[in-house]
Parts: sequence; C-alpha cells; structure tokens
Amino acid sequence: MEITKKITDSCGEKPETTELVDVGNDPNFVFENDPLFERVILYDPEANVIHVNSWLECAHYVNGGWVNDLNLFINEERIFFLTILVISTFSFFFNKFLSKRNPR
Amino acid sequence: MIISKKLVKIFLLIIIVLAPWGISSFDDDVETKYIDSSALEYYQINTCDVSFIKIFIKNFSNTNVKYEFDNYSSMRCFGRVNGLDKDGEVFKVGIGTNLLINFLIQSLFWIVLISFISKSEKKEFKNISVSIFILLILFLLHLYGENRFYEISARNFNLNLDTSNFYIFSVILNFLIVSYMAILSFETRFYNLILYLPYIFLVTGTFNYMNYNFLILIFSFFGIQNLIETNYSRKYSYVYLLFSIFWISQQNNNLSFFDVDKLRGFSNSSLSTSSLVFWFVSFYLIIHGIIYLYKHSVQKIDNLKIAKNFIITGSLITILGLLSSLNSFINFFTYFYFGLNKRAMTQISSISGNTWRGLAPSAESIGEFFAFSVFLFVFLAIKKQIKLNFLYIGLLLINVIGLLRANNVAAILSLTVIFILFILNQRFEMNIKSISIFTFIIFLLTLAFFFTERDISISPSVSYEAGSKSLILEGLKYSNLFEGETDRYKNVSRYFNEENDLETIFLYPGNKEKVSTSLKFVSNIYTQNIDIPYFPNPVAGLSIFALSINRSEKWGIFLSKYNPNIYEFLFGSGPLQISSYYNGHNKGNVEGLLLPHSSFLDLILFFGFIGFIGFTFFTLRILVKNLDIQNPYWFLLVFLIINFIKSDSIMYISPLILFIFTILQNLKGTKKD
Repeated sequence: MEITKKITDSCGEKPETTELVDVGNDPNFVFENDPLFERVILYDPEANVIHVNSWLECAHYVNGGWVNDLNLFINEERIFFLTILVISTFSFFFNKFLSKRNPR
Repeated sequence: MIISKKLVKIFLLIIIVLAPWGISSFDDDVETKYIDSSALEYYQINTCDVSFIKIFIKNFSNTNVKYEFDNYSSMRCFGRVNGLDKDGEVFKVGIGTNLLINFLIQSLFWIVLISFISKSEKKEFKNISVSIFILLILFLLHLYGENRFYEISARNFNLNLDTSNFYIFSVILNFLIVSYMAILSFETRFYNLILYLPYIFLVTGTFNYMNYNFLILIFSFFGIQNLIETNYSRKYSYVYLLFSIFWISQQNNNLSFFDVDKLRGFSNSSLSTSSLVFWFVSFYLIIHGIIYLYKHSVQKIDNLKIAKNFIITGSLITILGLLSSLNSFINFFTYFYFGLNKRAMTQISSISGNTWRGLAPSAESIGEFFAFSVFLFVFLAIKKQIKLNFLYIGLLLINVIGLLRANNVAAILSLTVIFILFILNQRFEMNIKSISIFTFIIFLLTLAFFFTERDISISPSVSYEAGSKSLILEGLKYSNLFEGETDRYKNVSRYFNEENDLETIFLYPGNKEKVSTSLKFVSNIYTQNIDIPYFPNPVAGLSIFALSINRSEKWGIFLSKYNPNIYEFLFGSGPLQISSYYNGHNKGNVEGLLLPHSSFLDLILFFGFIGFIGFTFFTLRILVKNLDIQNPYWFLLVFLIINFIKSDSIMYISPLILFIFTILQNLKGTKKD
C-alpha cells in the first residue's frame, strides 16, 4: 500500500511506531487499536459510517475508497442550488403568466 | 374568495412549519425508539434517519428530553435526529439544521405571515433591482467580515468565488429570492405595515445561526428607497459620513471574535473593516427605512388599531413564552419560526427570583414593551377612544402579568409616574415647567427610597460617604488590581473606602496599567479639590444615583472595561460595535456577556461623547418643543428615555425601531428628518 496524499489528508502522517503492512483482502486480519491515535470517522458512497482507531486501519479504508467527509461524494450545495434555481425560475415565469392572464 | 385565500395561506403556513421536520428516511428498517439510556447508542449510529416529529411523538410524555439545533449537520439531515447525548438526567437530541435551508424556510414563513396583512393601494418602489443589488453587496460584506462567526456555526461555509463553489451561489440565490418575494409582498401592503409594527416584538426575525435579521433586510430596502425617492435633509448624513470615516480610520482589524449571544442578528461579531462598513451602512439605512415607512403611512396611522395590536402582541408573547417554558417542542418551534435571538426560557420561575424574559432576549426590553402597550391602551381607553370589553380587559391583564413577570421595576415605576402625570394633566393644565418640577420631585423621592434599600458590595454600611464612592469602588473591584495578593477586593476597599487613598492603589506595582482611562478620568473628577458649596461632586452624585437604581456594579464594570483614547471617546467605535470594548481592556473580568446596562452608555460606545450629547439634546428638544398632553406618545417618549438610563434596549432591533417610531409620533406636523 502506498501512502497517498488522500491517506495523509484523512488519517494524518504515519506514526513512526506503525509498521506499514499490506492488509489486502485478508478477512482474518485484526487491526490493533492505537491509544495515541485520535479516532477518525470514515464514510463510503452509501453513507455507511465506520470509526477507525489506528492509523493503519484508517489508511486501509481510505485506500479502499472511504473518505472522512461525506461531501466528497455528494455536493449537497450543488443539488440545493440547482433545485431552488429551477423552482424559482418556474415560479417567476408562472407568476408572469398569471399576471398577464389576470391583469389587475 | 377571501376566506379560501386565507385558508390556502394557513395551509401553507402549516406545511412550512411541519414538513421540514416530518420527513424521515425511506429506510423502513430504522425504528423510532423511546429515549432512555439504552437508546443512546442506537441514535448515535442511526443518524439522519428519524424525523424530529416522529421522535417527538414517540417521546411525547418523556420529560427528560431536550431538543437542540445541530446546525453543523449535512443538508440531508435537516429536520432529522443527528445525535443523542446524555447530560445529567436530560437527554439532548440534536436535530439537524442547515444555514441555507434555514434562511429559506424562515423567510418563507415570515413572508406568508406578512401576506395576512390586509392589502392597501400598491406602492411603486423605484429601482428595485439596484436596491436588491446594494443589499446583496452589503450582505456579502457581512458574511466576509464575520466569516469567523459563520465558520463556527455553519457546515461547508465557503465564500471563495470559484465556479465549483455552489455554497456561495446558493447564498446569493437564496438572498435574491427572499428579497424579491419580500418586496413583492410589501408592494401591496406597504401603507398598512405600520399598524402591525408591534408584531416585530413577537416575530423578531433573526435567522437561525446567523448574525443577520430579516428586519435589517426590509428596513434597509426601505432606507434605500428613502434615499432614492425623497428629498431628505443632507446635514445629518454628512455628519454621519464624517463619523464613518473616523470609525474606518480607527478600525484595528484583528481576528478577535465576539460571541454575540443574545445580541445575535444586531451586533458586529468581529473586528474587520468589511463588517464595520456593513453595520454602519445598515444602521443608517434602517433609520432611513423607518422614516420612509412612517412618512408614507402617517396619514393612515390608526392609533386605536396600533394600541390593540400592542396588547394582542403582548398577550401572545406572554402566552407563547409560558408555553415555550412548559414544552420543549414549542420552545424549539418558537425559536426557529419567530427568529428569536435566544431560546425562550425553559422554566416558568424567574431567574433566581428575579426576572422572567419569556421569548425575549432581555427581560428589561420586554418589560418596557409591556408597560408601553399597557399605557397606550389605557390612555386611549380613558380618552374614550377605545370601548373596553371583556376581551380587551383580559388582554390587558395578560400584558400586566407579563410586565410583573419581567420584574422590570424601572418600567413599572416609570409607568406609574407617567400615569400620575397623565391624570394630573387631565385635571390641571400643566406646562413644561410644572411637569419638570413634578418629575424632579418624584425622581428625588424615588432615589431616596431606593438608596436606603441598597447594599454596597464592599462596604459594610449604606451611607452618603460610601454611596458616593460606589461607582469607583465597583470599577476598581473589577479592574483585576493587586494581582497575586490574597483578598484583592479588601485591598481596594481598605485604601479607597477606609483610608480615602486612591493614589496608593494606582501606585501599587502593576495596578496603573489595569485602571482604564475612563475609570482614571472619573477618579480624577472625584478627587479634584474644587468644592462648590451645596453642589455635590458630579461623580459622587452619579454614584448615588447609580446605587439607588441598582446600577453601581454594572456601571462600575463598564468603567473598568471602557478604555478609549481621546478620539474614541469623542466619536465612538461605530453603531453596534461592542467587540473592541468586550475583548479589549480587562478582558474576561466578568463571566458571560455583561452589557453596559444603559442605552446612554451604549451610545457613548457607539457614537462617542459627541454622539451622546447630540442624542440627548435632540430628544430633549423634541420633548420640550412637542409637548402635547393629548398625544400618548409624548408620555411614552418620556417613559422610554427614563428606561434607557438603565437598560440596553437600544442594542436590540425591535426596541430601537419602537423608539424611533415614538420619536416620529412626536414630530407630527413638523419636519420628519
């Protein structure tokens, strides 16, 4: 496993005491908790949440596509912006149409 | 047709109130559990799945639950449970909210409320697009200037102007939509708006987790219209411009952050030029906006309707305040939909047997409002302009209960005084001279009565000698003097009170720098050698007065913190700028947000001594020149000025608007500018 910027951004720099092990897909691998590591919360694209307790565990999940910020998957502001833009534009023209039909 | 339109609006209001908090996750596997210790982990894992309304219904009878806003949640979590914590016996349920959605929902709610105001003839506003553009620029200045406030309170807050940043686009679009809709609804109701002015005390209009208020937007728009449309007097604007130039030149930009707390929505939270510009321009526009609204509605002002709306509003504030104390669900909704600066009180009992503020941020200002409403209504009833019936008497009583619960003694006493003055005026023809003598006698009697009731915190007995020193004593007490020594207050008391030796206090190592310039100035006046027979030392007189009205400690704290240079003292720091005062000299000498407790001191902070003198001269001149015992607003102006001596009401937008409205009601038939 290569230490990418994504990993250091999410998990911090690798502690000197941590040995870089490639966990791969080993289902029997057990991550040991690092008491000095500040717990990180990671998310996957389905918005599942996992709490990781060591740098190695964190790096493993980040390498597998998990992120520490859900917004990296969903740009909520973009969806919000486009939704209100469409609604307001529609309302504006609908209002114009109504006032043309029923002038006071 | 009218009834069906009203029904549609009521339906719309219900939708706006309930829908955002009623949408749950479509995942049926997530069950809504009753909240107890066993559910802690469940709600910490299953975030953003259960709606607020669902969890409320499930926990309807659960008295240990408190619902709190979690503004740092994602948009998809809006209105849903975003976490659960246990604090003692209380379970705090975090309900997700989001700044962008809040802004839209709250504005929509208020605009629909405005639509209930009956229509008047249409007002053709001028240059609407330009006005909205100016307001938008001001709004962005505010966001940029106070970005620290928003970074703390809003998720993903990002004002970078780049094409991928949809946050800033959403902010701008939100603002444009809300401004346009609000103006559209005001166009057809403009001339009737003034009749509903009292409701700004119920619907305060502060956006959730924002330091911005809906009333700023509205009155700034009216202010711009006033500048475009009318031929207003330029001289005050030029003076204000000179002050503004001074404030900008004196601005010391730094990263300090002022927690606005109950002043939220109407106070600068930072020390940056852009936020300073936003606040002084907005303040100027708000004043113009009120004048604009008043000028155009003056012919249609119906005092009876206004008086009725005052007591209806007062009753609603009292009843909803009580309901919010009893029920956390109502407490949650009143805060959000009325745009309160601060959550309503969660208890019916007063704070330490003292005051009960209900929905309002300050017990003092709401006490003044209740007293104002009661006087106006009773005045018109005595004048037989209002026919009393059981409904009105009931509403009046609710207002009196509100006033008594707020326990604003100054408001109750001054209300009594203006009532006596009013009754005397009915019997005898009084002129300004007799009124002044009457007021002065009442003033002396009140002072004498309360003076004997007070305790001086660092003096064992109440005497003229000790009382005349109370202000300086309290100031010294909060100046962090005699650092490192045990019993620091006793040192202050010993040197100043017992030995009459201020110099030793100032000469003690480290003390000199801690005494503020204002406290030093006041001390110098106190210790001067000039003795005019039978004329008390001004500081001694002020101390006695402060002690009598229970303000010696609060004003002493003000003196310990207020450390201006000569220019700041003369011109102030700008309207609604309290950050440098609060985070400046003797920072942290008191816990929490302790305001100066006098609108006159607030004025000195904002506009300096020159501004204070100008204001005092201006209001007194209005009082003297416009004495009209048939006008209830003349008495109410006296009432407000008396109360401003010991309250910070001018720091809140609704009392400020009420004050300006009261002044304008006294200027009938004269120049409005």
